[in-house]
Amino acid sequence: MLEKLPDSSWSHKTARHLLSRSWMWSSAVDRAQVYELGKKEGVEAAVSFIVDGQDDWDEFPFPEWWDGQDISSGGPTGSPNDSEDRFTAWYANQLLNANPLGAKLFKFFVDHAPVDSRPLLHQNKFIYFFEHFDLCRRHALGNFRDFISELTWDGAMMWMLDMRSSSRGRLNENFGRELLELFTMGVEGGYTEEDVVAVSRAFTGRKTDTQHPQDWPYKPYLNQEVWPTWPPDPEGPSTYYYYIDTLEKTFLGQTLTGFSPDDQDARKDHGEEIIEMIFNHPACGHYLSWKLWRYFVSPNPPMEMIKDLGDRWREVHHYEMRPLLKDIFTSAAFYDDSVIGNQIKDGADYFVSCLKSLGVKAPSPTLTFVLLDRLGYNPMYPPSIAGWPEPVGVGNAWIGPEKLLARTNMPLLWTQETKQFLPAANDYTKRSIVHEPVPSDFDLHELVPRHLMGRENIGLVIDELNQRLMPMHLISSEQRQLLIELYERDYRLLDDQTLLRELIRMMIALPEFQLQ
Amino acid sequence: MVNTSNPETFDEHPSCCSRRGFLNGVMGAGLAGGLGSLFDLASAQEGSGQEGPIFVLIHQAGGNDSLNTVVPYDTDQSEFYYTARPNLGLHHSEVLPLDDGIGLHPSLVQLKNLWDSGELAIVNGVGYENPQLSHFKNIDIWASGSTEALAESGWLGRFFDHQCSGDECDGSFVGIEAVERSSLNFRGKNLLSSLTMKSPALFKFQSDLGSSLVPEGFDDALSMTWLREMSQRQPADHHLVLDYVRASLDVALQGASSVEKMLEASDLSRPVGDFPNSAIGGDLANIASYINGGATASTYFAVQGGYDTHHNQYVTDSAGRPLRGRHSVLLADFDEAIGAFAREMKRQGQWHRVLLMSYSEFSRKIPENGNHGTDHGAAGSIFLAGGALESGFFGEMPKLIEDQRIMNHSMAPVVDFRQVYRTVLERWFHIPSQSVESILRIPEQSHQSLGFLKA
Repeated sequence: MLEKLPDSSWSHKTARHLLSRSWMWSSAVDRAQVYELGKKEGVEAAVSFIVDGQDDWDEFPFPEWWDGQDISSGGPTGSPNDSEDRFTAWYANQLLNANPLGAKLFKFFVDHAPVDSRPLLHQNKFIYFFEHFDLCRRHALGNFRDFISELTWDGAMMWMLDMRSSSRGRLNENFGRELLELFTMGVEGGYTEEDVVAVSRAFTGRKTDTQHPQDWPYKPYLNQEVWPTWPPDPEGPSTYYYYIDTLEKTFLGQTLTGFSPDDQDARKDHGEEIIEMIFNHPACGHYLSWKLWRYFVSPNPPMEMIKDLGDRWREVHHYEMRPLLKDIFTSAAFYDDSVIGNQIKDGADYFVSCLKSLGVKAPSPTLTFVLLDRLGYNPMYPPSIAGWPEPVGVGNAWIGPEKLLARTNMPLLWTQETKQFLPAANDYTKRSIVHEPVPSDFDLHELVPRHLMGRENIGLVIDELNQRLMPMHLISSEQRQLLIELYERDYRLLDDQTLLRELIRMMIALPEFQLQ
Repeated sequence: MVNTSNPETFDEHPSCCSRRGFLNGVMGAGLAGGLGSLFDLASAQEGSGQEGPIFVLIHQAGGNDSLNTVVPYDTDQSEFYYTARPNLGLHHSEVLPLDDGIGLHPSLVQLKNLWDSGELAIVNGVGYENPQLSHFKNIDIWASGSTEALAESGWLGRFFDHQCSGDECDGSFVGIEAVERSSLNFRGKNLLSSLTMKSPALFKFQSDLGSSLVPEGFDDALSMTWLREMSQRQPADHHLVLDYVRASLDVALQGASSVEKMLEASDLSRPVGDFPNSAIGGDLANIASYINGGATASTYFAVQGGYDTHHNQYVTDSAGRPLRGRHSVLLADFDEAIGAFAREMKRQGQWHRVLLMSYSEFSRKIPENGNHGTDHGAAGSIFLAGGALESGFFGEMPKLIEDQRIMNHSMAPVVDFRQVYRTVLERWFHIPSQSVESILRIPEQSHQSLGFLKA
């Protein structure tokens, strides 16, 4: 078991760190509150305050158009791009405003099982997307095994990885392989190529219901009275088994006995049996807890520690998310000096922390889509089925030069009310932002109180911004002096408002702001 | 990328993240004066770029179906090819015949022309022993140049490192990746010796404050100057990751100035070639424009995605032949982009300096699957094109019947991919054998070069 952080080690620093990793942004008030709680009632209490909060997805319902199917005449909202923009805005709004830990985990699950808009060239694309993202958020603070079990009935994933077209004798290995490699056991998980085939065979015959995709999950062979139009053969339910491989299979050295589909009582779900076997295997707990550790803590944890964490998650917590998170957030390793302040914000972390720091709301759906895309985080276009780049690593893709420039420019949309740095007309996203309104909700005085306006207070202003913008990495006194010089000498031609706005933009562009 | 055995870590690379390590990285990569010299503006006129070899690497991502790209339509394997692919097999009347009963997919018209004019080499049966069939493992294996898929460096990154000794380095060995995310291929100790730039027009730091209140005479480049200075100040407490971000920001800001100048200078040098209006077409057009603009880079990288054709790899035409569909469209795009690039290089008078190579992380299985597609396989063929190579077939077409039995329906490797890499380093960049062995981490005298370049 992981060594716990002793209550005596609780400090402002540990409180800040807990919030900087479990949420995407915190205010000074939040940080003080969590610090006080930990000081008075102990580390467990502070962590429970974060982890035991209820999710609030009901406050973010699907928009009314979500099940509109008419892609042929321009998509459910009138144009495919517009629908994508509004979908992205719906998601971004949750990252900004939902229960902060829930939002952080929502993002993890979207990354863990990403779906791409391109393979879903389908009249039901948005229905599948909303259902898929709903699946991710419902299980964010739930149970990982349940998430995977439902994922194998997920319309978007069935299209994404061809499961819907895999049938007995017409096998497609796409889903079977990624279920093992990416979603549960990891490429080093100890399974063989034969296991990949066995898993693929076990998930044959699962079809998407193109007529009633809203009624998800749709399990025709478990609930045959809702039999719709699939299969086209009208002879009766048992025909369905033509598409399912019901023969004996061997997976991880164990045998799944075959069955006769004609015998109602003998029917089994080999897919669900496979999931049970996967989640009973130690590699599954190890791989998934490794991935969650990398997401929340650090890129290169000792594998012995991860094995302990994963075994406990599997054996004691049965893949419940909250107890695992408590194990992580109460561990001494989570608060190690090598961890604190050493994680590069991913594209969405940056987006949320930038907007929250500026005290602004998400801009128009199209601008939201374009900004996230520029940051390398387009939730409808993952780089691959392996998701987005890891948060920390050498040659980190989140802060390649092109992405860093996007980060330095993005605050200008609010601070100087310009969209000049964005592609004016159609770039490869096929978006034109010419007619997009520039947001006007930035209020300088939310960051710089009126009584601190005026050149004599510049030092105080910088200190105030420093605390608000980069709590994990306050700038040095030398850097502070430089900023004062910039303000007093080089920018003296500018008026106070323009100058302070540029100062805020500059601080958000600093390397210190890119870390959490 | 998922790689439990070798998670990326800063700890393994102290040199990448210290200030000194970073300076060695950038300056060591030959960027005298920083990235400002990324483009040799003095020579930015048509046809007068830098001397020395240029290497353009294209990754066909997703696993290209090699058997339907380089087709054994009339060999001792043909009967089995058509048996294993009753729907997918390309009929002999449709393939573009090369030699020895092997032909190209009908989409590859430009490559066929290059073959006919002696500018195309095909290496068959490329892979590695005990192949794995995971996309992500294989992407790392090819990029790292190691079957261990070490995530800490790429084969080209180590090549860049080798070109630098101490603080001296030949300036022509800088890479540009026309990709969204930096790839493992270019990763080395000199972390930032290459630039990742997908959209040059957007590769900029916005200096203009966009405000009508900015008075005349105000130097709006000040923000960038200040940001760089702020970012370069050593922090009181030392943080590896913070140093890494500082280094990255510094390169971004310097790169932005350099790219801006390049774009200003290269209006005249925009390729006139007829590049296809596609992602890979645009990326190769950009690369052609960097070369024309006098870029000092020797090595370029681009990716064409979409080859993971598990289903509907083709759609039959009216005669019931599989000529259209995803694979045909992808290969046609690939072919047109390469054709346009070759023509543009010839127009620039640079073709003799160019070696273009394409690879995929794996090929696909021999038999088609149940969905008019193909599942993950192992070895496959790769293309090399250029004005100074030896045309022809190298390696060996896999023995499909044997492979079917031994390799679980995949093609067995005949040529190790590191033989291709050795050939490129040894015979294109003229790196001594011993150094090549060190870069590729292969035993002495192993993985011998192939004949597509003269010794």
